[in-house]
Amino acid sequence: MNATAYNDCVRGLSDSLYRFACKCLGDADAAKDVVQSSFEALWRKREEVSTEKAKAFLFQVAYNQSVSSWRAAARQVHSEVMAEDWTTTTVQTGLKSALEAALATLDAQSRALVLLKDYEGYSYAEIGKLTDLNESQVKVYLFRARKKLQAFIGKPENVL
Amino acid sequence: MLYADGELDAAEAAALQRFLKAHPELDEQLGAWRNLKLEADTAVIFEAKDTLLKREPKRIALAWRPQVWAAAAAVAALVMLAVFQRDTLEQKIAIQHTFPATPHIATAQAVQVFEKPNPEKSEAAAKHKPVSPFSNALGAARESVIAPVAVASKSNESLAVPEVAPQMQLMSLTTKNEVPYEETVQESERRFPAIHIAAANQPAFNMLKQGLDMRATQISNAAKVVRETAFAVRIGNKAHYLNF
Repeated sequence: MNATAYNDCVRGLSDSLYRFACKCLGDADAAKDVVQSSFEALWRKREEVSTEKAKAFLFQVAYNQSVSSWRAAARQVHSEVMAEDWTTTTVQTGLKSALEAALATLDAQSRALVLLKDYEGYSYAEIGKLTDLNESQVKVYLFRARKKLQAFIGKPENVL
Repeated sequence: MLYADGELDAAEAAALQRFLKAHPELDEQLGAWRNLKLEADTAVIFEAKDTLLKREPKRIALAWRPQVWAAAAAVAALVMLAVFQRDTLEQKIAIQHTFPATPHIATAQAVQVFEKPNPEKSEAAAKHKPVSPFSNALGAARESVIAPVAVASKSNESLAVPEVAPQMQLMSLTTKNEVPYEETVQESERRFPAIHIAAANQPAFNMLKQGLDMRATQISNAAKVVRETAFAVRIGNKAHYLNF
């Protein structure tokens, strides 16, 4: 990867990487640091990383840094008690903000998995490679995370 | 969840769709799963991109016009010619240089004519064979210059080959400052075509070498600059990169 291809990666991927880091960490300044260090790592390894694999490399570095930062800050939030019936209807206008609030209640790893799936559209297999999990683990963790999200937005006070 | 996440293959998805069609009461659950999908807020952007960018190599962009194409072709032809000339100069330049055996033979026109090697004869014998004009084209051209001198030399016993040949020295030079080495003209012409220049004496030889070195260096530097430059020629919206 030469400087031109690297700069193309900066222009094309920095926004999505920043959004991912912001949601993972909940802190814009920390997210900027993650983005900078991710691209620095890519530049250092530009001889080994091809252009096609640059995105996966960046998100892998950002994921590892986000999870490490989150664990270091010890901001583990335990989930609410899950509702048994999670097909409760919700008010659509508040759904998006409710989902964002629900996302913040997840632990760093679950949050990252949901973001990699929904924001970036990675498959379970790809997410497994990025996060060093096997595909079954990704499915289970995602399922649990989605159930927590549903449980959160299933409560009327969390949506309206 | 796998169906909502698009993780089922075509056969599995079709089977599930048939199942859902048969159980419409499950549509609500499917809808609930789909409502959980997050959407990225594209208004959130990373504003410090400039701090991440790296310097790119300079490119000379030329807009496509016939005049520019013609100029670029002319420049490319000149560069190719210069590179060819440099390569030619870098071939070993054989300078026939004779140092007469006896001191009293101090003529400034000492040039020898050498026979084209005969493969049937031994190399040792060929080195000391009496002179005779070349028969090939290169030799014929040289003959027109050297033959009159050779005729004159034949009349002078002191310039006879058996006496001079052992002391004949051929200086092979390159423009890359290689250490000169000696070999006979026969050996040289067997190995490669060369520009054979007859130098009258050592000072003339030195001046010639110096001039050729300077010229070769100039051409080499110019060729290097061209080689290190990437030319981007645009045809419409498409760029074609030329490297020499």
